[in-house]
Amino acid sequence: MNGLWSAPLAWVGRSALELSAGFGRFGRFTASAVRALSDTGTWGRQLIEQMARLGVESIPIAVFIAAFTGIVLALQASYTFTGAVPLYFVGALVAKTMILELGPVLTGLALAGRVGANIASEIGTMRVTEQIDALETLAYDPVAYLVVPRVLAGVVMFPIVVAFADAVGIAAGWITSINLLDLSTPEFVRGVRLFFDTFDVRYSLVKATSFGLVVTLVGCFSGFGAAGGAAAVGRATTQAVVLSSMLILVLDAFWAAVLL
Amino acid sequence: MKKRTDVVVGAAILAGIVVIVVGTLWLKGSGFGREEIELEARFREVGQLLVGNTVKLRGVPIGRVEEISFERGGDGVLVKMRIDRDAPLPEDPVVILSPESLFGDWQAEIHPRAQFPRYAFAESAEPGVLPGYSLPDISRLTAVADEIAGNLAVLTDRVETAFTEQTAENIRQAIENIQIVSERLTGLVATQQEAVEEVARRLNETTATLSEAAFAVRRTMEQVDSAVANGEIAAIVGNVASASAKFDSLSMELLRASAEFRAIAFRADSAMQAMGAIAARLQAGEGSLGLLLQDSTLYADLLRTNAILQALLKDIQENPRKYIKLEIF
Repeated sequence: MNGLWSAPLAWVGRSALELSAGFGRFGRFTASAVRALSDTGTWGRQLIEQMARLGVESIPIAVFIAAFTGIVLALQASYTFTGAVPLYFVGALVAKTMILELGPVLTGLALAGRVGANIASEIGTMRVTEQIDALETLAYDPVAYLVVPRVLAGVVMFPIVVAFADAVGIAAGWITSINLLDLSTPEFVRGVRLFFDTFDVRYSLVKATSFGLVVTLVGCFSGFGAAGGAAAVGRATTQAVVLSSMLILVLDAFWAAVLL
Repeated sequence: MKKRTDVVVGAAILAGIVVIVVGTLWLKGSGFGREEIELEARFREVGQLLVGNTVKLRGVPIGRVEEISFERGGDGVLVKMRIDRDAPLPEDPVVILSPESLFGDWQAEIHPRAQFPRYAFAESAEPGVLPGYSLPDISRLTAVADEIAGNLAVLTDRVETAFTEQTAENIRQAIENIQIVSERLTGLVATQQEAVEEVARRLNETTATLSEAAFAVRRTMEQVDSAVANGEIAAIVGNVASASAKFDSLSMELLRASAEFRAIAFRADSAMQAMGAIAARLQAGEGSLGLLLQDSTLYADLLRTNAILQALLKDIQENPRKYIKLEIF
């Protein structure tokens, strides 16, 4: 009887402790990253390179996803609006959906896979091959050298990537509307402008910034926590992608509840 | 290699910023390089109007709503709009807010006031602030329609309640009765038509007679008029005045006679009262005459005395010397 109950209870207790320990480690890691911000000489030289890798090189995949999302949105909207609702509402739906939701979230999820996995595997490999220990031996702060430039690059470049994604998504919806639907450019533009508010853009950029912070920070944290061999790197990569994706969706709901 | 990376990142960031700024301005509908002016209008309320809604003139979009705010120290709402400088505003312009479509998007339209003389525009004491009027939105119209529909439903229910099979049968019966009455009326009209025609004929004759009478009256009046003109009426009036004076005199005489007659009547009344008293005494057998009337013995004595006296007179006539002895000296 004791054995029957003790095992699940032990599992719950162990999980709670691990979760608390994980939060604690993540908090300490974040605090060390904030402290490392003052070491500009270390992370400054890495920033541009990380911006290029995490941001500029992510633009094609973000634009690709956004383009097809815009096409699908336009077609599905026209399918839905057939009948009572005027077709120019396709423009309103494409623009609103791309700017408020799909642009930031799909881009964030895509970059969680691409960027988060990249960071976690790179830093995890450095961890298991003791390169991070070597940096410490060379008097480099590994957080300032590895984490801060990546997190800052993510925070700065994610909004840029999302802006491209929004623009391309709307443009794809427009091209689809005038080519595949009985919709003219003025009608589509009327729909796009119908319910547009500049707040929509701010909302989209705030979400993108928070997604950039979460994806890069979680990627770095997972990589830093890798211990063991190649398998640990794989686990860290998986953890980074899964955790980043979950946090993106949680943040999406959070911002919707707070800002809308 | 490092420099190339810097350039690429810089270009990406700049391009991203340009996309954000230009995209936002484009979506907002801001006119690039277009000269605009600011226009303000006052409303009592603005319905579903939002910042960014279209401003139209004669159906042509000429700008957008820039700001919506409460009027300071008043009960109105001020709406600022940015419109094309070249837009040809009408004389005495007013702004009307109305739904642009059935889906909640509104617009501000600029019109000449004369086009809507019955609208109660919200005037502003501030110079340069246009008067505004907000049309009822779809929800209000829908609410009214809903109320009407509710009333119709109630009415329908009542009609359904009232309109039973029995009611239908009664109505059918009533229709049949009306039909019968109508047929009877038709017959009656046909019957009475001749009488009506006769009446009409007589009416015509009467009218002719009346016309003749009127003609005669008119002729008489003409004669009267002529008589008046000739002074005959004046003479008649003079005679009437004279007769009236005489009549007044006669009347006075009659009054006097009446007074005398009243005195005579009074005296007659006194005499009649005295006669009444005498009659009463006679009736009561008082006095000689009363006794004479009431007592037959006295009458008989009187008759006997009379007879004796007659015999005595006869004897005196026959034998005067028996009774009268005349001696001279």
